[in-house]
Amino acid sequence: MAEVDLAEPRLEALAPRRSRIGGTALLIGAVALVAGLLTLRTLTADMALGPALKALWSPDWTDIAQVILHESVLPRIVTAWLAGAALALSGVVLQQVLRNPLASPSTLGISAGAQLALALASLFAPGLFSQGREAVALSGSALAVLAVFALGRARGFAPLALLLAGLVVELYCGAIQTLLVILHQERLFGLFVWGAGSLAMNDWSAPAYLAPRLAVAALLVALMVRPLSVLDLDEANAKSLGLSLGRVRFLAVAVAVALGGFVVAGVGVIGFVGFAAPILVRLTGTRTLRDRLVAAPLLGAALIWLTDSVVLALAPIAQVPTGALAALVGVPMLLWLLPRLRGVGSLHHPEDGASARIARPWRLVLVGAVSLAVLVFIALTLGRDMAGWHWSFGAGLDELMPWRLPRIAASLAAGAMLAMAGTLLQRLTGNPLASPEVLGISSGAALGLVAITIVLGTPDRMALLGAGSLGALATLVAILSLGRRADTAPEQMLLAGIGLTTGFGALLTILMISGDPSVVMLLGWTAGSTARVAPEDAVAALGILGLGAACLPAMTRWLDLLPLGAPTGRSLGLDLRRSRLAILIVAAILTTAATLVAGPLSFVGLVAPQVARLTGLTRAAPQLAGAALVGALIMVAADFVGRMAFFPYQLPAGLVATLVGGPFLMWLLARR
Amino acid sequence: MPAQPRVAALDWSAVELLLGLGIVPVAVTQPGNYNRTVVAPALPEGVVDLGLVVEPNLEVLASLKPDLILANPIQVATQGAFLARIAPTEAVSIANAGGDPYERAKAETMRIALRLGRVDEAKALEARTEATLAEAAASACPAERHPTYLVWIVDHRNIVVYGRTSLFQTVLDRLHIPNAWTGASNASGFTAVGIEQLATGSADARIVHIGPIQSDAARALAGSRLWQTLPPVREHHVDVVAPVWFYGGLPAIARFAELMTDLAKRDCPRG
Repeated sequence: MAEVDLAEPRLEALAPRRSRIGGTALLIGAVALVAGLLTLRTLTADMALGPALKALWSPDWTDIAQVILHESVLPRIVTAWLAGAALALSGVVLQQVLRNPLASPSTLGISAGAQLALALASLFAPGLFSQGREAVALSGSALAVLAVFALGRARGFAPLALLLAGLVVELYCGAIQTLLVILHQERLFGLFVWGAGSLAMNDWSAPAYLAPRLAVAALLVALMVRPLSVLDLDEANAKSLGLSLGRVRFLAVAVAVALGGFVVAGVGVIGFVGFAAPILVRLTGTRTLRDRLVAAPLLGAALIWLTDSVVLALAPIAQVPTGALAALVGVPMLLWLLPRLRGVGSLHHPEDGASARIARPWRLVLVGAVSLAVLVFIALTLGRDMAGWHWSFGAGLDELMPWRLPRIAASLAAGAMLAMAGTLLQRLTGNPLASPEVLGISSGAALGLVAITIVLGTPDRMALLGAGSLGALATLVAILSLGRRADTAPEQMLLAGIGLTTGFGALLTILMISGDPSVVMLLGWTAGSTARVAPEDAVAALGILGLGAACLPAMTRWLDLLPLGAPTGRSLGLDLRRSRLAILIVAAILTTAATLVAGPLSFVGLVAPQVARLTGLTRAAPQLAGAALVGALIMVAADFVGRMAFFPYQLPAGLVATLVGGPFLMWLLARR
Repeated sequence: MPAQPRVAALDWSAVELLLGLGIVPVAVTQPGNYNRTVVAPALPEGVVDLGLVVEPNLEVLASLKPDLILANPIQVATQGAFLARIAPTEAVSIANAGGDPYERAKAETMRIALRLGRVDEAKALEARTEATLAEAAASACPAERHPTYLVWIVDHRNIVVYGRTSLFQTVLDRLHIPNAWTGASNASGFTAVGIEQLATGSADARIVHIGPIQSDAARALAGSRLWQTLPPVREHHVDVVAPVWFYGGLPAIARFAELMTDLAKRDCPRG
């Protein structure tokens, strides 16, 4: 089996043809050794080693210190092992079946789906839990993964497309969770603690839950080793061997998804280990599937053990949930791995036939502009008060203008800017799943805002604006420098963006658990509230939109050539690096400005360019104009609906856009 | 200020403060959730609902033409310019301002009372709170001054513990009851830890659970040997009291003092 050449995506460092288990064993040993030493420190904190070891197995049930060792410390370690092993096993299987070195329970939305299902059940149907959390978690995982596959199918399950689909599903689950949190702020704390992957234990229920399930899953995987190994062959070769690949694939994916769901149901969301352990095992030389299936779970177990030992060592200073810390540690690792990843699949895909070019694109753009004008007029004049609906004109409208105009203007500008940035990125990468949300610029701005809020407590608008811009700029610089290093930049940059988005989510969870109320108030902004946009901010946003629009005509030739692929572009005399850099900078500035007024959420940057293309605006200039109009339409409509639908309750515009736009986006992406 | 000032409160701590001064606000955010979570002082019917704390409905607020708006510091920082167009705005913050929460609550109450011409009511509220605290102190019997954990169970593995900088510490101090939690707590005065952390205190410690215990957590804990071995649980020294608004001011302090008095009277009938 080891002689079979890995067909598809591979890691650069995989040159050796046989497993060299030595490196992997060394890594596992080192991680376990550090974790073991830290654990030893915990054990001997209150008593000598001898009695402590004895208490682990047979405690004196009247001595609370011994009971804690037996009922809390030991099950905690065992749970760390089991959860780490389960996630890593799930990761290996997913990576093998999907021939995708980036697949894992966290990157395919499996964990996010389970967590959302559990949060929904805890708020609205706690009765479901009497049947056990398992069914709830598993349905959530299964639904999320189905969505990801449905989205990835149209791109032939290409590794990166699947990963991006996973991110979309994760963002959508996150948006629904944000909605739950702002509607039930008083229960926010529980919701966060609960999803964050705390490994605190006070009995053996978690290991008792995980162990048999992991054992059955491992057995099933063991039975599938041979057919799974053949998946290394490409499709045609495997078929010629007479294997029913479909059935093996389905069963293997089902096992992997179930493992991810079990971990969430048993302990919570534990980020990145399912992704990192299998990759590290391959990078250190373990090559054959059989070896990886053994080594990766061992490494995963050791990694979570180590993470949790660090959490315990930190406990006197700060309470950090293990799962969130694992995700946070995973981000730099992903960034480190990026330049080493090859063959994750190019994002270049030919335009699909559905979007036939239309004869007079600008006439359609005009229709969009007129619609936007009508919508803005309605949003400004139509409203509700305690008595009911009514139109306001003249003096009545003057009174309402200060509340409505800034947020409508900001929504319009943010929607248009995100849509333009999205168009730029999609044309740059040739992938319809690319967007500013995915680029990570939004997360960079968000990090800046969170940081300044922690430092100052109650920062004013200027401080928020400055810190947000700084964060976005730092992200931009980081991503651009990454882009300079790797020659085929866009894919790597998008992956870096995904890493940042995930890391920001983990950090936000940790901060929310810290209970800092000013961070809690940031929720309004992370939900995309346009209510805080001051008139001068709205003017600034419109100004940046105008500047961006002014830059674009100079770029339309690049934008028309880039989707044809790098070789074509080069042959037509395009300076790839410079044109890409310029496009990225403009996209980043537009994204930053939009994020500052409307928050990091919303799929506008993903959806609007697609809508423009589907209506037949395929050339760069009309697509940009059309997308900007669609983006503005979506955001102004979202702001209006957010204000009207549950009056007097106002839902943040970014959240409305995400909740409504998400399913539409998924439908859009699932089309072949 | 008019005799019956029209005040809007965008944050529950401000709502509680106003009700403590005998002023029913004209409008508040999420009144339904307030009555379920803060419980007392109860908000009467007929107060206008301003929607979410994260995004209060400014059009509705403006149409009510309030004389004064009370908001939390973040609302003032992010929406102060809008609020100022509607009415003068005051930021109210008690829980996270640092310092002694009781002193802070008294100072904030008096500041707002001065603003509203309700100094007499504020003095009366202070006196009532002080009297309730004194009664609590008198009711506690010296023999029963066990170190006490003030907790809220998040789920069957995690709890929130209220530390020495929390609002509740004022009441414990008056009762001369040591806070059994000596570990760190965050800016608001609490921290989330595993349930096993409750074993670190002294052997005669007690647990007071603020608010009802969720039933599925209670079920799971009943089967946990570690929980059953915790000294307060083994000795049946776990009490569940009614919910108290953790971010509140004088009314919350008085409410918690009353709840603790009830416990003391039960444990120490001769007073």
